[in-house]
Amino acid sequence: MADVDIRRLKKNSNNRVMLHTADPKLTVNHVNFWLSEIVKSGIDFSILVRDEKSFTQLTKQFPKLQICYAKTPVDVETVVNAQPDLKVVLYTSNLARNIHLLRFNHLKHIFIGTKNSDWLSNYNKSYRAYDEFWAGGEYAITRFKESIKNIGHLKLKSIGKPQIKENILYTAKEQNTSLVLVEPKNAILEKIYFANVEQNLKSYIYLPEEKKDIYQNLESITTISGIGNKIIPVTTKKIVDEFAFKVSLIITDNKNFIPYLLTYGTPVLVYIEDEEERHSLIPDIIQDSLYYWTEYQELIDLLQLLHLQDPLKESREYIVNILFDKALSIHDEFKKNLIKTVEQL
Amino acid sequence: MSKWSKLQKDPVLFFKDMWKKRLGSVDRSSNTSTKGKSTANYQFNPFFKYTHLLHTGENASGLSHLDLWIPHFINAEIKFVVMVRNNELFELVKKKYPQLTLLYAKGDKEVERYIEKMLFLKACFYPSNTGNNLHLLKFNEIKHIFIGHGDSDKTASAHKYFRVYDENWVAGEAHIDRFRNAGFDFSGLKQVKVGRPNLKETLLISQTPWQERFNGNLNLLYLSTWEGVYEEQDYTSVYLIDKFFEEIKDKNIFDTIGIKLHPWVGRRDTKLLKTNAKLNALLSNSGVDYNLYDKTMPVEEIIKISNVFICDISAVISESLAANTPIFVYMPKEKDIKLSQSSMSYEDYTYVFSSIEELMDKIEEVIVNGNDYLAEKREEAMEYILGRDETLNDEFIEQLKRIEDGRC
Repeated sequence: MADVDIRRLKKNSNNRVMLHTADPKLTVNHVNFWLSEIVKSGIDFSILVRDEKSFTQLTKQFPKLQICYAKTPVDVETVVNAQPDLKVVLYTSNLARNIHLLRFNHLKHIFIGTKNSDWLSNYNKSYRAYDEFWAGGEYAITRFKESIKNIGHLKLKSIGKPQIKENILYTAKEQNTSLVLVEPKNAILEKIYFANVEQNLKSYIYLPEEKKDIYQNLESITTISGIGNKIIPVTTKKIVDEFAFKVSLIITDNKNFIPYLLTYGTPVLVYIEDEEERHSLIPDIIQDSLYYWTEYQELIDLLQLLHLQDPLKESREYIVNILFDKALSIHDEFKKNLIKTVEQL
Repeated sequence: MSKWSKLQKDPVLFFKDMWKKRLGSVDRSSNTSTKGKSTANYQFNPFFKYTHLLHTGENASGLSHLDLWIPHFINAEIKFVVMVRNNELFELVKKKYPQLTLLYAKGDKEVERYIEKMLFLKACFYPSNTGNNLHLLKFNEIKHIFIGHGDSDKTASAHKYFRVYDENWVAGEAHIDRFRNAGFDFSGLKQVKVGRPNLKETLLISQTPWQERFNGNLNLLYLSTWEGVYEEQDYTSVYLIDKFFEEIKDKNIFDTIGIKLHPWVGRRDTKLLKTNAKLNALLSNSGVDYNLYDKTMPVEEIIKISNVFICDISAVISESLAANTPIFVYMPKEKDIKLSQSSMSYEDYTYVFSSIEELMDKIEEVIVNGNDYLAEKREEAMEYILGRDETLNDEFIEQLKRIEDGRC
């Protein structure tokens, strides 16, 4: 493969924005996370990918998009020169190779991050190379200011996370339903199954396709017990997108999903092995907005409590606002900012 | 065999063993060879209070950047470490500066391990912008200072990436003007004028008028740049300079001719790798007293023995400027030259040419007819570009000490 590929750029391209993604493992995820939001802006844009495999994958996935590949600094220059109207570069991750683009003074460089970068990134002085830093909410901005005392010219902006707009807006929940997102091990699933049955909840349980045996066991027991319409194993990886917005509570042991699960507005019941695990949750501010359980009886107690009241509701709303800024997310602040930035240049 | 009897019976073996032992006592590296390894150190002792770290993310070619600064770090008498990211460079530096403390760290994890061991580290110094500087920049508690490796009007001299540093140490006001004129906000970046310590000796020599140096001899020095990483930075005259030497060889204007190509000539355009051989063939039987300098020869050393310069747009112009002699600068006409402009342009203090005919005309006027009409402006440029006063007052060393003392 050549070191540079600009064949997908339109002739006489009018691109104003370019999304730059350099992470060898996560490029495809980063593009998928931001793509539809950039499309919504209606601005002509291209994508610059720095990883060869990701480039191949993305061009297959999106054959009509203007996706480029560049290996070296000189190749990056070729990509920039081929887009004379280019004004803005959006960066998803802060990697060494970003320097190849950051040297262009005529471009505005904006760091937009990734799905979880607001709480996972270690902010440091190298972020000052960008012109602007766009974060989901106040949480990332505060962390940034605490890490880097002198931010100089850098403009920090809260723009919400447009990707959670639908999660927030959809409020019609099915009562007494649960979504179960756990790794089927250590008898967690069994505890959840019996607790859901005992509390008469309708449950959507995620099971990866390779866990066929568990799937069959569940299917057989629910058929025998006549509760096949109550306990529903689901294999699709899009289970969160399809079910999270309509259930009345979520049970999980996956610590990485939690910030986004909170945006659905329902109680989140987190399985922890011990108290220490609770204090290691990231971002730390979510720790007081979750329900925790370890033993079967604790789960039963929580389900009974939630049947009557939801004492962490306000706390959850507050946290979601700090992390994602609900108002800005709902009102398309990302799109508005992008359009405004391009128009001003 | 005792030492005495060894000396008597086999003096060669005696001295061989003696040197082996001596070198062995100096070489306290944790690794004898770094080949295939991701980390190594030489004379590093984490129980020392290292305060300064000089880092280059370049490959073996980064030696020239280090050469520029190491002597002045040594003169400042501060506790400093040199960190390199290339094992070949590690061996080169170790060999050239056996008195230094040296670290080799290939990736970010190795960098992290060393930085965490240096509890009193106050500042990291960067001679160039490389992607792997990022591995050090993530340490927020350390001051990050860009010191560069020369001074030029190339676009690489003032761009947005510089804002990652806390301070930008520049020679003179010219470099700060390049930032001011680059059209972006750099308000978080502190600009500090430190002069050009490596040019101090040349500045002292320049106090004698150039025509009177070397017993009135005219020593021409040609200093090329390379073809650049980017097309926009390709300012080299190497493509046409053979025509100049063809013209000049029979004219008897210069007493000696020195030629020093940039060490990276041919890196992007491999055709240029034959330039030295081509010039050698041209001049070898011409009767001209010429010298093709090796790429490792420090430029500042040959500048001191020259009094007329032909240069490309690069940091060597400011190096030559320290000598206060006529400088002829190649400015390619057919290219859209993107420069980060200071408030003095090359036309103000150098004799700019775009063709060999133009160069010959200007040499005739300035050198042969003795009309050095830019002499006054050149003096002005020496202060503005080089920071002559800061250089002569050892401001760089003063600033290194400021960091050590914790003064802001």
